[in-house]
Amino acid sequence: MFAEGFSQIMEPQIMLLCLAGVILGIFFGASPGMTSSMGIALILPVTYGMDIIHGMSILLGIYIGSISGGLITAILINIPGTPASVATTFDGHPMAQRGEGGRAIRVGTLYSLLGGLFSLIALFAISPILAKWALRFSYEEYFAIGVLSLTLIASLSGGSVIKGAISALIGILFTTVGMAPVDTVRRFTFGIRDLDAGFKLLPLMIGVYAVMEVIKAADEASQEKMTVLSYKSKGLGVSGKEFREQFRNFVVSAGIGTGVGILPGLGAAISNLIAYSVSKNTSRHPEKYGTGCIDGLIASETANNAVSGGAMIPLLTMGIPGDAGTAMLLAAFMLHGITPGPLLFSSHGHVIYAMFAILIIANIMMFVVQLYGLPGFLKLLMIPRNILLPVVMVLASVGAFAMNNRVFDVWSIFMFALVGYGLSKFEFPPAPVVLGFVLGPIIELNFRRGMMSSYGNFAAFFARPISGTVLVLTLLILVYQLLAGFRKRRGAKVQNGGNDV
Amino acid sequence: MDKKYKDVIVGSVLAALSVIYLMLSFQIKLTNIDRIVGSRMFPQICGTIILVLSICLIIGGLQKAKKTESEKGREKRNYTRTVLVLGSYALYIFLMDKIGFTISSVIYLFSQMVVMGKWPASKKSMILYLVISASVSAAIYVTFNNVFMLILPKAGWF
Repeated sequence: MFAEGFSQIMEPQIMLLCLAGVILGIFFGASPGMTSSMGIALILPVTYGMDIIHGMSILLGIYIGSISGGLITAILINIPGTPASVATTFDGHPMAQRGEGGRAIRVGTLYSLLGGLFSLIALFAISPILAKWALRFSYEEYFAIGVLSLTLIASLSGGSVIKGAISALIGILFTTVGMAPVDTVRRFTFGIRDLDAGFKLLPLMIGVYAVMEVIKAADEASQEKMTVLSYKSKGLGVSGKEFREQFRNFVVSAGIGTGVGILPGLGAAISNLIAYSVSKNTSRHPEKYGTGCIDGLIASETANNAVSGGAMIPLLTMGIPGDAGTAMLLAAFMLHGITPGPLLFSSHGHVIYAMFAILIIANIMMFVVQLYGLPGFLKLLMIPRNILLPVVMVLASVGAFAMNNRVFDVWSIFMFALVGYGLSKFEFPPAPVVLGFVLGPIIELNFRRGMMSSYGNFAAFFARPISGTVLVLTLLILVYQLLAGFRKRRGAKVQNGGNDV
Repeated sequence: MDKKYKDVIVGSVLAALSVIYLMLSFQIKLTNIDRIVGSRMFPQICGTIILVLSICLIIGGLQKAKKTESEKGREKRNYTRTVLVLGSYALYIFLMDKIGFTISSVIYLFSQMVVMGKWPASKKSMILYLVISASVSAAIYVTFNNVFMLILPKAGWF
């Protein structure tokens, strides 16, 4: 399997593309406000003319590079480059303030590599088995998994569950514009021809994320320049003894990262925080966390990179993306005419094996590039944002236009930007909109097919063991969330009453 | 706008929009092949859930508003830059279709760099913005047209 994968990618062009992807990815990851999904969205048009393996080598390079790149700014500037490295700032920045910035980066990068490789082993081991199992999945199972994913996204996206759920549903509503699945009836097109094909993921992503970033940067224009702390160091940052001491912390964090990655819709933004708190709560010296101890840094950086392999598992085996980055990878697959799912392993096995090999190479490249190219990245990061972001916007617009050669897609970026801005003003999380948009068609198509095969009997969705279990689990999560919300409100009431007395 | 009514306002807007959406969904044609679950059903389920959630948001917002004291004073935030950012992007898309990619991009990049930078911009930075805008637009045009073979919007005379 691996020999076949490596034999396909061992050519200079693929290696160079992967390297370019990793460099771009680290840059995107390190730039606050720019994420892996935006990086993939920007580079996607470049891959239109390539074959799938060449295209994937640069896109996966970006995916891997960007998750790790966030640590550079998190440690040296105290601004997490991506939400995936929020917990890295807790201990990474205090280390840098103590003059150990270089060591923190080396430790973070080493454990990024190890976390990434750990999750890849899980990917290689689990995905073929899961794919075989998923072959037995019917419409009902896909519907149930889609609904469970949306529920998880809505309830764990931070802030109010109602707002999270509304965000996800708004994402779904956008997918109902255009031709309906199954019978291709036009919906909400108002006679506008361009709407027949519906909206695309790329303009939505750019509108909701990139334009918002431009607005935010414009608001912060008068802010002072960022100050970078010293980062000179040598070696790997950890001694053999420390490595042995941290082994348990590493395994637990990597396990959390991979597990969170497998659960659809959660992603690296949550994994680093969970791993950090687990590591702190189980540590013998929790008081040291937050003062610059490597334990916290290792937990965060291992867990966020371990998401990469985990999130690929539902994507490859079921066609359900694990986070916003893998949602863009799904769009990339579709553009190259490949539909991820259990059949992919038998129909396009060579692509899967090549991808596995690219993921390993990309992780190793990330390690080398991040350690030795650090001064270069820091120079790039100093490009003023009022110059960098407009260029990103032009590239994004070109990408949206080039998808179908129509200006309509660029206009839809503008429309989504207005929606995104409105939502952010009222504190609605943006991530569920994107995942609702991706999962909406999967849920609808399988819901309709399932209902048709059972002659309109919804109970059939509960009759099958897997879909029934998943749906009951979804209901339990919903009930739990409602009860938790109710308890919180009651608690607040009691407290208020107490204060009155 | 009193901040404490934020959820009530957004809930009401969403509820109104979901009612319009639900009304529009009745215009979707029903075909004979799938009378069981037509193309209307899914949008109607989603629309109804949003409506219910919006009402929950309004009720929750009202309860919260009762408890909290009125936060006087409007948000002191300047929206000029936000309007300029969105406005210049809309103008860019409009111009892209009319005068082609290259020139509209130069105009957009330059104006956006000025809008997002420090006000007032110095003469030196204005020249820098202009040079960067022109070279980036030209580079993107040449790369996409000649290397990636993607045809970008072109005006008749450029």
